[in-house]
Amino acid sequence: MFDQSKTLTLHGTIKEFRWTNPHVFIQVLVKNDQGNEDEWSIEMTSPEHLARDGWRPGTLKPGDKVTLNIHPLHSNAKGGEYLSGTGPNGALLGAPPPAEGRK
Amino acid sequence: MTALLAGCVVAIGAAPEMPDWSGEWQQVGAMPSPDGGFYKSLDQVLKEMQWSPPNKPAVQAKVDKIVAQERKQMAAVRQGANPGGAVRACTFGYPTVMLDSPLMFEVLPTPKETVLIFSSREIRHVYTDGRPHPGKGDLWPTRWGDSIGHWEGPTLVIDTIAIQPANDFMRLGGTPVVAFGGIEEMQVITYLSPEAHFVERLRMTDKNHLLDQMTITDPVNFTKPWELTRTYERVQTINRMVYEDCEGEERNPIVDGHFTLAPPPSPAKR
Repeated sequence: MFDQSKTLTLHGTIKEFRWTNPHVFIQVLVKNDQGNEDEWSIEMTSPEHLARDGWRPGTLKPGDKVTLNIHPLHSNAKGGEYLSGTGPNGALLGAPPPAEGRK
Repeated sequence: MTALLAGCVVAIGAAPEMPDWSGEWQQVGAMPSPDGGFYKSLDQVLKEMQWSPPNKPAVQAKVDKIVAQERKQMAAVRQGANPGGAVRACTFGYPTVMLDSPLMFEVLPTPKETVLIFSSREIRHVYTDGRPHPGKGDLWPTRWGDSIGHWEGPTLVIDTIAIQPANDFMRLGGTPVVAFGGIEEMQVITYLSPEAHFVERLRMTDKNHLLDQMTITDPVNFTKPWELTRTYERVQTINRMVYEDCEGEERNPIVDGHFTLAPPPSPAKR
């Protein structure tokens, strides 16, 4: 479903951080080439897994300026799979771990 | 009056002292990444996780055949093909919950029973009141089997029989033991029959680690017992159970021939 050979970087504004089961979604508004805003849906894993990674429902708030690295959908629809990113306070959680990996 | 039994002192007639295994636990090496995959690739996982069951030749041939199909499918998915089947089951079943699971869990030892509760809401009941497994006419296979146990000092010895393969998980057509790695990467390791017999030795090695030494015998599929070891670490980032929930699994509908995203409704608007 996601094109894992491509990494796309989105610069946008959080519309909603949808903390839902089974998976969490980041709804983000991104300006297109025409200067209009597109709404992108970025899929993450479950709240249970993200909570153990240190995320919480309030980690992202509407209006937050973010940069998100994603694998885009193969269909070219406005969506993708979350990889890493930066938020208003610097790096978001969930960046890939060090080379040696987690324990 | 006291007696020395297998290294622990118990008062006769009194309940044995239970270890404190409170808190949340997760398998070392199986922590999920925020994209829903795993930090390690499937090939790395296969090397590190003792995934080398003593399969009989006919079983290994069956495994090789399905692995070849899976590898082909995974390559096609990476090129844009739709995944072969939607994931509908949140549950992993036994022994996968212990061997290769990203779920966190709690362990609650009591004198007569130890209960393991997983974030998928799967529960293992290990009866330690001295009862045997149910008799033949009162026993049937389930995805978590029937577990009884006893304490040898600080070690909980668990005996499990009567498992039914969790064959709806990932819809791969009978995959009781599956290794996971990366994102959308998985591989069948072996098949287990309802005759499979599991013995686990579960103990705390320090205040932040539990160790499970598992021996699986399966006269139908294995040439000899299969020995595995798994370590679980204390979750440091949250101090309570958070459950998985498959509600909203329709998030990936097929539109114009492609799987796409349909985020569940905002909780605020439900």
